[in-house]
Amino acid sequence: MSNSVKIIGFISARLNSPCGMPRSIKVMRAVAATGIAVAVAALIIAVSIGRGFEKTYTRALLDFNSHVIVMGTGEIENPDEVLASLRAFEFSSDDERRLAARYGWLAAWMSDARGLLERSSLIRFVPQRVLIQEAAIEKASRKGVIAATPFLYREALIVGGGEIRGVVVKGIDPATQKGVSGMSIALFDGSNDLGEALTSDTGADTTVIVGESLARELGLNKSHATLRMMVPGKDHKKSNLGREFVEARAVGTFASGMHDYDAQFMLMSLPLARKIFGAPRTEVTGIELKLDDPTRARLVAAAIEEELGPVYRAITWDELNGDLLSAVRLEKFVSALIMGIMLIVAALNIVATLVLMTIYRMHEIAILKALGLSDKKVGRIFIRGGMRVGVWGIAAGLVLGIGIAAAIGAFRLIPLEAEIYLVDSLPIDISGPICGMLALFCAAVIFMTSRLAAHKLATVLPAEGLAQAR
Amino acid sequence: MALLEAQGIWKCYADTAVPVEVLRGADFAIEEGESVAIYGASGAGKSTLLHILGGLDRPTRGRVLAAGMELGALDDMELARFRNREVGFVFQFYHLLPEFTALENSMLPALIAGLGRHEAERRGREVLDAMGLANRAMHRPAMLSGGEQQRVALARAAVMRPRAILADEPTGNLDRETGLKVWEYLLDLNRRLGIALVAVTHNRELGLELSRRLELCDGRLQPMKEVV
Repeated sequence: MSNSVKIIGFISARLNSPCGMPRSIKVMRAVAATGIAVAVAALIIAVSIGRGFEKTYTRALLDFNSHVIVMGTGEIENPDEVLASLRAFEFSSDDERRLAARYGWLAAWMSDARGLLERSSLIRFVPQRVLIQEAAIEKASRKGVIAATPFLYREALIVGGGEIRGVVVKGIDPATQKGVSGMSIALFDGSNDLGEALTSDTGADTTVIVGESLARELGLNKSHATLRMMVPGKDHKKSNLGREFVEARAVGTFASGMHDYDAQFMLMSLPLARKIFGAPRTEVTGIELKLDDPTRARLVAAAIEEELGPVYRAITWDELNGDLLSAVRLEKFVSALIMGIMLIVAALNIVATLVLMTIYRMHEIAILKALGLSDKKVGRIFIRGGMRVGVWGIAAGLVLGIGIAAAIGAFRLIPLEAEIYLVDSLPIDISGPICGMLALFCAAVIFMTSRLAAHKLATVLPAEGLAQAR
Repeated sequence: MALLEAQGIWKCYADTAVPVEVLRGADFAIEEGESVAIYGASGAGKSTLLHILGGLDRPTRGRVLAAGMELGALDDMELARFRNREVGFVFQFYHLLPEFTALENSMLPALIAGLGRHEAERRGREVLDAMGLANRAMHRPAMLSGGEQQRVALARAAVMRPRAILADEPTGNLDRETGLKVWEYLLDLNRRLGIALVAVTHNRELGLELSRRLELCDGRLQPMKEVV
């Protein structure tokens, strides 16, 4: 540290010390620090809530929909071939560079940054069931696709518990589904074997796993597990059963974390779904893929489209749910923007404090200038004074913001209507790097306001200051 | 070339209801090692002239030359360097920094000059010793008497061995005995170290010991009429 910096630190420590300061300045400094603390806390809480929603929705979407869905122009009739190609597919670093160049370096950089921030939680309070197997993802090699499973979508009406509901039946391959989905599935018999549960003979035409919310609405449970399913006319005529109504038995429930999915979907084994809906023996609607890094889904999807040819389209999870995700991101951005403006207003209090301080210290400023301290160095002394107040405010704001956000998350202080918000309590995701960045942003704002004020105030002529008797 | 020279200095305070012209073309020059006393009635502009000579204030018109270098042409950094190295100030009300000890006050100019803390402290102790304040080094100004505070101010003015000390009524706030003692220290700096001295004072008796005496009258400096 140079002698010049040391002397500024030495003088600043004495002149900016609260000892001996008049009460009015102490109060003003406390008010300024409190304002900054409240603004920082509000910013952290707003950003943590925004991140909480984004992460909860993202995870729920990723759990239910997988990272990339490969679909054909119609149904895929040769899924085994496509699956074999996808399992052999490797997303090389050359592909990544080439596609990143095509999408632009900014997209690649944003993808990297987003990936980093996605994994940067300091404290997280989101429903446990939507936490996908992140550890497994992180351990996986960066080859792109790490799991693939075929699926079939069909629509049906179900009757149960005196209610009629339109549902989407998703035919899944129990053996490979688990590798792609992070959904929490609770089987009524307490077992973990999804394959066994979906193919067991229950005496009904088919066995199904229903969404948690749907099961609740229809009153389905272990003892009341039977429901009737109406297959659309054109489908039932093609089906092996040849009947419009099919008897199904629920063997468990799934929870994706998203009310919409949990209230509208039913899972069935792929062969049974084909049988009931009269689909050809090999036909599937598409193939779901799990990637090692979902934030790179667009690049991997582009590479897959190149690999499979023009008949196939790879749709990423964020394309599929673009409206919801952009609404959540917009809400996060706007709330951060508003809180950021609030912070700037709070930082302006520092200017008022500095003006008071320089009036109070006019005499000392004049003496220091008479002794040879330049305007610039006098300014730096008062910038340090402003930063001192600001740093206390930021530190208090960090503690307050993280504390309140953590309490909201841990004790579920703000319950939400799951039917409206899709989650049952306010989700919180506090990110260490984000808190660090916010603290740096606040420090930069306070530095700039202090600098503007201090340099202007430091230009007073020494003779004027000496004439002032305090 | 004069060590410090003021040419046609005008100073007008225009921020009052009626503009006040304190200095009206004052000329002044002091050579290396010389000592000059400036007398004048209260409000005559003695302190203003001293501030302008030391670069603490700007003249409305006229120029100040320090070894041929015009102060008005210096930027903030150069002017700060001039005040730090070339001149030392002694004020009537001492103007010590209350948060700093006597030693810290006396070593501040050395620290500001960029000297290391040890060197600044060595110099500070040396000048405090010379002022007879070795045992008061760690005391803050509030714990010192008026005379002691003024001696700390003298130590602070001398610590960088400037070429001139500008003293604004250095004994004006002290009793006669203490004032004489402080005056002796000031003269000692001039005689022993060859530091030029410009002292504004009301005390005609003290001024007799200096090499020249000037009077500020109607905004101009003129030689003092000696009373026989």
